[in-house]
Amino acid sequence: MSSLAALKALVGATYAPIERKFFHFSQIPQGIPQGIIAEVCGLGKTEFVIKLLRENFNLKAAWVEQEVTLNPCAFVQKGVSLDNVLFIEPQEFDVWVLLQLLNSQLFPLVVCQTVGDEKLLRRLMLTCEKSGSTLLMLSSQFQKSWTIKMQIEVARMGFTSEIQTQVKKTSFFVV
Amino acid sequence: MHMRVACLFFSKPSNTEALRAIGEACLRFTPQVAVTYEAVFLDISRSQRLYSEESLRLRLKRISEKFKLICQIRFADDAPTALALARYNKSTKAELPLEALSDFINPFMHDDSIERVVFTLLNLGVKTIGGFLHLPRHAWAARFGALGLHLEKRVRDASDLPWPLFELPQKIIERLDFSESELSGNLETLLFFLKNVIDRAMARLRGKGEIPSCIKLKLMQEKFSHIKTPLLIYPFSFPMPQSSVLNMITIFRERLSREFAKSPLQSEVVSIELEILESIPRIQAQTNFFSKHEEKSEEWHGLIARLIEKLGETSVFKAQLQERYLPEKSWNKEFKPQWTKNFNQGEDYVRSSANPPVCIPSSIHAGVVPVVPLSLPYPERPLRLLTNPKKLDFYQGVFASDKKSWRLRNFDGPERLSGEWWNEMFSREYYRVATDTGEQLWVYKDLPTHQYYLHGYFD
Repeated sequence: MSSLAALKALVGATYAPIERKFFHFSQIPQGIPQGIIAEVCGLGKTEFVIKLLRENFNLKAAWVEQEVTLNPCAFVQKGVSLDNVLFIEPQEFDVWVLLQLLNSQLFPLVVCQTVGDEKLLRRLMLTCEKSGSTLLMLSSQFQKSWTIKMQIEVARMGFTSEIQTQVKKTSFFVV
Repeated sequence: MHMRVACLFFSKPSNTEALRAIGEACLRFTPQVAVTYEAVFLDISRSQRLYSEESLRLRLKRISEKFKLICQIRFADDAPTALALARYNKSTKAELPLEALSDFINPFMHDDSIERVVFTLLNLGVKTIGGFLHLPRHAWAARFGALGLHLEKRVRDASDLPWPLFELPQKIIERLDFSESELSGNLETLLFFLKNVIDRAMARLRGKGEIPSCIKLKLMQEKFSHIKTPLLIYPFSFPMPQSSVLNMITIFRERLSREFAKSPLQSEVVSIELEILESIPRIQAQTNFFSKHEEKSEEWHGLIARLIEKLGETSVFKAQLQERYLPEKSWNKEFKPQWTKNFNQGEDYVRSSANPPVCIPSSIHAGVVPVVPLSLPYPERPLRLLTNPKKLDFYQGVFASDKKSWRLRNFDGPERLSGEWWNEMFSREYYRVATDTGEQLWVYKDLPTHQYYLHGYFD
């Protein structure tokens, strides 16, 4: 072991541990890590994002949807500042838009609809890691991809704004 | 106040236009600028506390490099001395050769009226300005008359010399002609050269304290008989004025790649011309070391401009609430969204349309999870709202639209919304409907027609 450590030091392969940051979120005790792709699935996924924005009030988010059907009045009603959310309708340039948003590092949170292509997901994952922004994908069903580091299932509870969350998958490193 | 002058002397002046452009770019350091056919003078007496001479030297050098000109930069207590030091590459006035006297007579215009004086002094064995200053003062009037006295006074102190007026060029136009080996029809190569042109135009604008909002780019293709329009003109109207060259390059790349995909270049480009059509004043302030707000704001403007350039103005927006009773009209899109600082402390009151103001507790601002949920004085609104409500048929506990049907399991309501008699009166009864699939719909019954509509989802 010591010789391996010495060899690593020699070739410069040792590195200082990077502390991963998390968005605090009451629904998920460990929080949502920054710089990953996370997938949210189930009925109540928009509510999930809204709760996350409400609990991190200064968080700036970009919301990318083909046709924005969101109701900003409900955002305000739930305590989310509309100043912190930018809406984008990307037409056929969805990946380009996501890369622009992630690379700009202006939005710690980018919300989008599902991206199916594995190759594009890999590209997005690398950009997320580099920029430290989290890409939250709202999907109708979970995808099998190693690039998605966290999968969360959401369910609504009756006629209230309460939701139940269950983390289905976590595969990110905490150093 | 003690006068201090910086002089940029160009030993190989290309043309007066280039020097005037440099003079314009130098206006950011001082409003007192003079430009001649071979030099640019800056009166830096009042900006000495902002820029040290060394940092100013580097900045001036950078500006002249942008315009592809090499210059000697010297600082002195008056314009003639600064010019002579730069021309003869000396560090003190005493070391200057006697020929430098012509610069002392008039640094802003070539004057050869003192050739006789110089010739006589050289014959007397005076070789430098230092030697000239050691000559007895009373001998000047006897030997050279009024000219001699005038010359002696100028060499000792020329700080009271009147400076010529520097007239700013009316338009900012920067042009680059390619040499035979540089001709290219490749976008990346063009952008490489274009960056230089933008750099120059931006330096000139910065001198005037402005940033561009509208630009015209002209690409001149090589003239061949089969090319009908060798001159290609691309106007760029930025949704937000741009202060960063890199952001502008990205916008140019996006636009030109789209234009070239539509109609490719027919021959190689021989020249690029950039004209600033419109500009607005920029905020002149020193960078705040303790806040990244300015950088973020600049990045924001660049991002929004890039997105709008690619997607169009209506695809990028922030939401703004409107005071309307009709739920689908209770917000509108704010195009060209501006950068806003994060909320700080205290309580912010936000008003929802047709609803009482909602108070957001200050605990939320600190990123702390509020213990007590927000009290909602009116029923919860759905997070998804259809702009055009969908007609629903309701029969035996089943709601059906054109494509889908939902079996009603439970419902909450009604909540009656009505109003806007002054515009287009409406009267609706809203229900929150739980279906057998687990979805929650926001359905309303139009009271005059008794027709059901799907208006949103509680997603």
